[in-house]
Amino acid sequence: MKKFILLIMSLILMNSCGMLGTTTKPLKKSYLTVEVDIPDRGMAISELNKEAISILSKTNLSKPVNFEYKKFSGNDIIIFKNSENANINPIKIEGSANGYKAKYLITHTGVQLSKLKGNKLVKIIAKGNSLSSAIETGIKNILQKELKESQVINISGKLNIVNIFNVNYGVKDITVDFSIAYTFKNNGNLTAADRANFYAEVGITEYYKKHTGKAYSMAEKGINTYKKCDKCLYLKGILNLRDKNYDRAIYNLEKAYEYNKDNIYYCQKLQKAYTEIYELINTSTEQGKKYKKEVQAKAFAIAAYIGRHFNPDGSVYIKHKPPFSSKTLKFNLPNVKNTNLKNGLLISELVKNELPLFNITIGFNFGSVDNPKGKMGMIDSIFDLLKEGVEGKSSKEIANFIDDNGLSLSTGVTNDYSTITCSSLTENADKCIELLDLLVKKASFPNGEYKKYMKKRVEYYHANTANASYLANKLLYRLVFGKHNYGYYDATLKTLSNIKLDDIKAFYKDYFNPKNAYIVISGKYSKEVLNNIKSKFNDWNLGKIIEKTAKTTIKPLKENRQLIYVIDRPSSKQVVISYGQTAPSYSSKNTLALYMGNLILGGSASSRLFMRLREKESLTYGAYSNISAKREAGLFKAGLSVRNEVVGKAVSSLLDELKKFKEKGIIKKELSDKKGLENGAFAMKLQGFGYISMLIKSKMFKLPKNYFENYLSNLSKLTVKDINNAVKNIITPNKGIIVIVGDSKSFISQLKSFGQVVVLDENLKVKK
Amino acid sequence: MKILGFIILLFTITTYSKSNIEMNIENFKLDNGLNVYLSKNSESPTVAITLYYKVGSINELKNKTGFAHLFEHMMFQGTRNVEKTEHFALLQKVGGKANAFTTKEYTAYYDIVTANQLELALWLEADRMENLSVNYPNFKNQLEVVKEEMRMRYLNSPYGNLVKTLDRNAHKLWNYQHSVIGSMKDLDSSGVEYAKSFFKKYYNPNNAVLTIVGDINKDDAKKLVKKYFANIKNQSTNYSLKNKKGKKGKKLTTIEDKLAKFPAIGIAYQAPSKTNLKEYFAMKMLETILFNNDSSRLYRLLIKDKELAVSIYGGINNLKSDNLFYIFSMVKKGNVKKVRNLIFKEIKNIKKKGITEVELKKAKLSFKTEFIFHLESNISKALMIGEFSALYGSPDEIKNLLSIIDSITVKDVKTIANKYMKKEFLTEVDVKLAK
Repeated sequence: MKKFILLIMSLILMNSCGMLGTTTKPLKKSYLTVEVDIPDRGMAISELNKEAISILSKTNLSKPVNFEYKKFSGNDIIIFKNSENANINPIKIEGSANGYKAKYLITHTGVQLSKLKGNKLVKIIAKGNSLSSAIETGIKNILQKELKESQVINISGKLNIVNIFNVNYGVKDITVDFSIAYTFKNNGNLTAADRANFYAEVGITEYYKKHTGKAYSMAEKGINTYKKCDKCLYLKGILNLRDKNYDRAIYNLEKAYEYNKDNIYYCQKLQKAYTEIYELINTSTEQGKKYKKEVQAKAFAIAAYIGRHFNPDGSVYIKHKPPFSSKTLKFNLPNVKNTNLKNGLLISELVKNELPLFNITIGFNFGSVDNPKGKMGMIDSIFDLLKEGVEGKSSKEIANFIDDNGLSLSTGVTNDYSTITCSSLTENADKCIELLDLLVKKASFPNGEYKKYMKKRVEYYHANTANASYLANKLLYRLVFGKHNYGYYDATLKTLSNIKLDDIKAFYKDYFNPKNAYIVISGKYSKEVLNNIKSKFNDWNLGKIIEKTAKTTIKPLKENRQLIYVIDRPSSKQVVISYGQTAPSYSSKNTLALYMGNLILGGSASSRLFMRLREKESLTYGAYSNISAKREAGLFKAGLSVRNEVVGKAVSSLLDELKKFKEKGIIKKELSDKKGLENGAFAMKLQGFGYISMLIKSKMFKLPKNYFENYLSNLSKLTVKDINNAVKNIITPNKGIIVIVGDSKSFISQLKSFGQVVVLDENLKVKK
Repeated sequence: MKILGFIILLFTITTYSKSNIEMNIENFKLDNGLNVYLSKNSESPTVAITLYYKVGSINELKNKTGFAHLFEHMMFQGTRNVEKTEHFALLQKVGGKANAFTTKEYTAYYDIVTANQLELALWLEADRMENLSVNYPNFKNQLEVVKEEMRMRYLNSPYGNLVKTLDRNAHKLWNYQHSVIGSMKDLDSSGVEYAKSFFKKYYNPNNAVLTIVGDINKDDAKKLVKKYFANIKNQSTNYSLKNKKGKKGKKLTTIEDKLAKFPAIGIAYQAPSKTNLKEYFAMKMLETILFNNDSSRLYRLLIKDKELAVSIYGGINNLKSDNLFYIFSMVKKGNVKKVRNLIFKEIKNIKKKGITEVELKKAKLSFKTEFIFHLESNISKALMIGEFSALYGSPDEIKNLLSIIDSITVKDVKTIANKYMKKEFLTEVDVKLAK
């Protein structure tokens, strides 16, 4: 009995295949012309559905298809590649759609042909039911011609246009993926799947020869050999379709698609089957009615979907192109005027004259990371308590002062720095200044207010724990950052109980001073207002500079650590899934590359995670990721909320996307799109008082001079390689941890394939 | 793509200014009925566009609750020219943003772009008004997405059922009683064909308001609006709303919440709508005086002085009809009765003795400041104009807010409290913790 070896090589042309051996028989260059006939409406629709058609209406393969003949591990392999990658150039094409038929003819220009003549071209005209199948046939013909003396007994192939970039907008980068399967008479072992695949290939050849009986028996033989043979099921499906046996066609094609979701043909044929059912329902009611409601619904839906490609008279609808502006947006950064007071305090002014508004923000160079050990929550408590009493004014008097003058007071404490802001109408600007002057210099922290506040913090803590995302973050931060202060998403009951009034007073006395502060004023205001600020803050007493040395090191996560932690929240009606790992600090040279990489992965509603987990897989309302670079380290997080039944699937898809992101990186189009996004976002940030927070951050992180002036030009210089290198080394599922919060009994069995899972209660104690 | 929650509603168009704020709005109408407003603001090189469709959950049928919001999701699922979700992608490619929200009375879409990409945003909006493509896979996909949104916002969040229950019992009309998110059962009963008919019925130029605010040349913007919207045909002309009287709700309902950590109180009074601006804003003053500032009466009393509650907030809703005034409080265990009594005591006090001049002055200043801060941003100005026009036919009243607010007296506030804060207009919901 003959034994066969079937080798399937899938070559993405951008990559070379380093494992291949030496060339034994170079072959002549050949040239391929492709003609495509689309014989019926279903196929026309199917073809027109493909983006490929729109690009091919403008492009053609400009070079001959080259191939090499090599030997590897005793087997013969043929590698096809387009001689220059991604170089498909515009050329003439004639296309028309006429009733149920569409025809595409692709030829080379005379100039190109004359260039190629010297190469003794073997010109082959191939026909197929679709563009891809015509190219496939052409390739097969070349092979048959060149290798007729060899031992090849069967050749099959497929061509997919895997990436088409900016089809509609003038960019013409294309990646072509040839997958060639060919069979040799060499010795070797063949798996059931290989054998079944071979039967399917033979069967498909018979099908094209219109030997349907033989084709059917090969498909059957294949399925009997290996029941999950997608190609065999596909062959059976298209034979059923030909016989108008739609129920069987749908069954077989759906099975084929189930076993191989990457094959677009399976989808297209399935669509064809449903389209024909739709027509049947409309024209032959008795026959149409026999289909189940679900089948009818799908048929209607698909007909509706493809309907948008036709006008009511049956002519093809030509898509309108989005009117992108070619005008470059020119804008300047707001003018900032800096003044240094005698005590070293820097004041930046951002004058805006449109509306009678005023804003003063004081940034402080300390944040939650600077809390004393075991006293997490102290610094934000200080900021909250500022308005609860100053020398000469009680909490109530301060509240009245704020409301009497229409002031808006807010404070913010990030990991690394803090802010206090007062905004008002211009007419009350001096009141804002008076308020902040009192709060940052003369806060009195009355004992009664301190006690009330600490009680309130405990209540807020309990209220927060009712929220599943809060619980997830609390555990995730702890697992990722360990005992470092970044490991606290929020204060805990224990750390709150450790915060004493004396700690608060001492920190305020030592660090609320001009050495750690920076003021930004913005809006419409008079010279007198500025002078008022200068005179008020000029005598702000000096104190200590906050030490910015790391107090605790962040230990890297162990390679073989636990991957998944579950917090059991039995009343949950949904499950929160959160992934986290450390990332570089703000001073890393990769900050911008990682930020942009994250935009591509999960930073927006057009990013990969959203597109897959929400728009494709219907698992969630939103899936996002985010990277926050802090002073001593960074955090990369991704997450989503899903229903109980799909937790396993969601974790698997999330990890799969992270893995792809790490291993395959990003592509040029993704980067150019997101550069566009960031360019615009930068302009948007300048609206209103947005630039204030940018100035504060740049000062607190000691960003280089002209950081914002150079931001867009640095962004434009960023390359795919920069991002892929940064991502490869940093964002990796191997370094991450997953926290899942929900009713554990309803989904825990779905997590078996991810290894052991630790289950904790809502107090984060391990459940037995 | 969200449901505009109660709290956000409170902050729209509620303030005014005595200063001479120039609204600078130009209005024109296309032949197909599309109402257009333009306002120039060159402070930053950006433009905000809002498109309000006068359809919300009040237009839903009895077995189709939640559909207006689900349909809002479908508006991002592609057209003859734009692929599924490409609306976001095309705008983001040039640094723009887009989103939408659905309320009881309207559905609003917005786009924010840099000034040079105004045409793209208008093209996208016009395209989906004319060429929306609704198909089964996308519909099924968004149905699941909306169900996840319902789980996230309501079923898996503490107090997720509070406003829903309060609305069901306090509103007089069925149209207002059901929630914008609707029910899973009703959502499941809808389909592609229904979505198509909904689109034809409501998503027409003569049922929409387009507003453009930002760094524009008004003549150019006008030309672009005509270019893309003028040829869109109306597929419906009748938008009459059939208000149905709802089932009378219980005056006091107790619901159990398995996720909450503190009990809570929800109170609703019937309230004036913006069709009577003077009454509406008198009630709005009351909201600030009661709880929206640090010096407000109930905040000081319940949070600061007596320390009985964890939070107190609320205010007048923004509905054109069947409007409500809400009070919510998260209460420390064992204090529900005390807190409720203190809230009613304070309301009784206001009804009897009224408010002080100082309190009213503070409330007015608070509104004035907030209003001018709203004008600072193109998008909030565009939302303000769009909403006024969609609900009340014109944003002209925005100009009049100045004098209306200024004319409110302490007596007006006392009168309004007595008119609406009556027992027969009161509905309550208590949230108790699960045992």
